[in-house]
Amino acid sequence: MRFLDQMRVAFWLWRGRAALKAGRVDKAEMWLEAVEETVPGQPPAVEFRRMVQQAALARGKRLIEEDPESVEARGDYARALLAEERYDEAYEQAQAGLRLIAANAKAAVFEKEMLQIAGEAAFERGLFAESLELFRKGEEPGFAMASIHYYRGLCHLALGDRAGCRREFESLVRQAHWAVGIRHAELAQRRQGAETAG
Amino acid sequence: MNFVRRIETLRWFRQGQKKARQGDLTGAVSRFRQVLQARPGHPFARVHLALALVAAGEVEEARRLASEAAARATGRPGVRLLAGRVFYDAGDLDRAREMFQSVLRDNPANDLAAGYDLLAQWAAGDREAWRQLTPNALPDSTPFLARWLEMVELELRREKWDAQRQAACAGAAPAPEGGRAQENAS
Repeated sequence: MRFLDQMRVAFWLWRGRAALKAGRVDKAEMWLEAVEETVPGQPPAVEFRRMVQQAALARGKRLIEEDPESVEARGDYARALLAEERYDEAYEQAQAGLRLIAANAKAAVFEKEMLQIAGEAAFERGLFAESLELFRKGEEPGFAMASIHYYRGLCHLALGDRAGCRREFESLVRQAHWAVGIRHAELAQRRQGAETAG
Repeated sequence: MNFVRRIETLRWFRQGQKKARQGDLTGAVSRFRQVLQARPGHPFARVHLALALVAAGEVEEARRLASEAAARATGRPGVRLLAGRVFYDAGDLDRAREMFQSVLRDNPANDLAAGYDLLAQWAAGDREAWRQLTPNALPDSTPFLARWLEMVELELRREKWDAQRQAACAGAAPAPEGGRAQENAS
């Protein structure tokens, strides 16, 4: 790492930790983003991500305890659980959030986001058909984010619908060409790991 | 064929391509059939119809049309390349490779045909073929990249999905519904 980058990362980490201390997880996430862009996958970024995730979890849990009817808190907590790969709990929280939304018309603005969280959690639990349905319900008419195309493509792939997968991946590539490089790097890393282990 | 009719078939052909891109396969198939009815010798309508049909699951007719298109358009590498894609999508990897290699014989610098040939090799079980498909060397074609990504994801997810299936069989986790992914990967 260049000296200038070292100084920058140290400054961002300092600001990020201060934000966490002040209970501002959103601010800490902002500093984390800057750190991860500069030193992706390296120890300072990984350690700080861990701290931010833990803080987000604690905050989500606390907010739900304070107000069990808060849909926003449920969504934040479910997202934090997803980041921690606690998919069963994330799914439960998202479903609880959807039930709250169904009972409260004012919370309808959070519905699409909650459906996406539930879809992601369902996918990770291996509930591919349900995940597809949740993503379909959470779709904005005429537009879907690249990540939604990605998950839907994976669901089709897991369900054996290769044509459906290709359709979604084509939309993904049109929107986010950079995904190709990221997935290749992941595969290269996995293969290298397997070769080293072998 | 008069000029107006020619323009009309061109318009139907473009509409078919647009519908196929938007995922409206029924609409695309009907447009390409319309073009072929009016102009049976249209060089690309037959192979585009085959592409739409294979995406809609009509594999046998798609393969027949792709073979016809390739036989009729020996001087058109673009048609043979698309016919290769039809065979690739239909899972007929040997026929797909034949098509890609015939394009490469005419023009060894055709990087899309070379990419598809490697992809078909990879899909046929040569797990080392991916090494030559590095991001910088990948042809900049959306359909190609989507199929490449599909192979990458299959490689990355295979183990996890297998584990989920096994856990479901043991009753330790919710049943994953992707019973056919593995079959199709092989």
